[in-house]
Amino acid sequence: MANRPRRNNPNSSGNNAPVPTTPEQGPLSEYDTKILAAPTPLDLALLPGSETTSFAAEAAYNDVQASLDTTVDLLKQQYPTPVGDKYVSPGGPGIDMLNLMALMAHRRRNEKGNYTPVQDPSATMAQNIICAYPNPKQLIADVSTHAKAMLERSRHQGDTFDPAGLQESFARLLPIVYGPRYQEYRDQHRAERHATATVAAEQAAVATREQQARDEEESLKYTGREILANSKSATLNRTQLINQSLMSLQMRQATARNALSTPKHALLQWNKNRAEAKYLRKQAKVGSSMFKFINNHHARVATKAKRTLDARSGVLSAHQALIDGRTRTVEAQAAVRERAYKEKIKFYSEQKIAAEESRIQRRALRQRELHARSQGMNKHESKLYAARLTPEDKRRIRLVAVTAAKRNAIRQGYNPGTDYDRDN
Amino acid sequence: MTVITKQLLADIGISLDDSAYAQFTEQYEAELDSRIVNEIVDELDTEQLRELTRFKDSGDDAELQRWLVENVPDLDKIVEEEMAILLGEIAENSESFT
Repeated sequence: MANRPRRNNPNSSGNNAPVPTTPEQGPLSEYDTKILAAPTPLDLALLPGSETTSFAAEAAYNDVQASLDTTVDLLKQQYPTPVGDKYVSPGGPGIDMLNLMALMAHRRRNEKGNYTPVQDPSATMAQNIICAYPNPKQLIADVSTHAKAMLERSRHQGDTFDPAGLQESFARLLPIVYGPRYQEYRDQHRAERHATATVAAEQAAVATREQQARDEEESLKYTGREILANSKSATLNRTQLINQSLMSLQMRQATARNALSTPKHALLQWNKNRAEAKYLRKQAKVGSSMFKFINNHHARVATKAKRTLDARSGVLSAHQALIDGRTRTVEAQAAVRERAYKEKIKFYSEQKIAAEESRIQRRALRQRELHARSQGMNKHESKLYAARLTPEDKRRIRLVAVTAAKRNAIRQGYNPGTDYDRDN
Repeated sequence: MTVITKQLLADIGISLDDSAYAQFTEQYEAELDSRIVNEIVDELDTEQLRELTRFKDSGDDAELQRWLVENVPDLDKIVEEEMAILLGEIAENSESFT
């Protein structure tokens, strides 16, 4: 009745292999757990000592043997062996595929040792396959890899290897070997692919939305820059702010020691510049009207502006003369000038570092504010949230800012030295 | 109105003739303005940027100015920072100008 003995049954031969339906080591996914929970037709026959104790196990073994043999015969008729083909045996693609699966199982469980195909009854081969591959997923992956290598080799060697027969054999033998577990594998595989596809589609949709938002923001920024650059009043306002800042920057520098750039002199220069700008503006209006009395009025205003300019230029020149008088000799003037250059450069460089530090802090606060807005806080709340930096946050931001600013300065060939030490 | 005056350059040891000075100021002031505009735009969130684009066709400069003051409270700070940074860069590179 049966094809005995089951020589390769790992459990009956004292092999210490895991029980076939036991999940493999490592964390199992929900899908794999469900697959391994499904039974195979040979579960009874795989129990230790089953061949001597269970008629049901014997019957299951024989059923699988009969099904496999019948299918192998049918496949042989369907795919007659081509003459001279090196990779399809006279037994047909069915037995070749069964041998290939058994070979995979043998390799998986025995790193060394030869494997002689067509040595075992087909149901014994099925037992070994299930023991080595409780989950058909891994077997399918390994056989697929091996089949690809075979196909590649046959291309290079010009053999007549035809993968169609082996592929169909695989598809027909798997349900016989694994039974309900194979069906469960297919269901779970489909569910897994569906879930993966859904997640991928969601991720793609999110990525698309983010990209669209980025594109829109870039486009808006571009338009915003254009608007701000082309607006006359905004440009004028910026220029005014720049001049105010420049003035305040120069006033901050107390270098009365060398008498070349005192705050008073900077202020006089500033006054003269303003008077000059005003005079040029007023002078441009003279003669622009079609009415004589308006032109006369413009001329009077321009004359007044000119007087102011002359007065301020005079004051500035007088102060300049006073400063120049303080440095008597050419050598002394040169030495003083050199020292003044260095002090000025140092001053501007340190101001730059301070400004970069301030810019990094401002950007960090703005990022926090935008983050708070994205979390649903209103404008006021988000500003409060942004301002609530911990001392550690502040220290970290300052450290990053100063380090970056110093690095920039050094990269540009200027070493700010140790005077500017605000790391702490 | 010239921002980077000859005097300012002279203070850090940069001496340029009139044509070089004109080229220099034009280049650096355009750079400064561009940096300030970039910083202003980076300060705005998407909603504010959308509002700003409304001024593209309206041409209402005064309204744009009011809007900027209201929506970019750090405008003064931005200008001051960018100017100080640019001046610092010029000062640090002053030797390459002479």
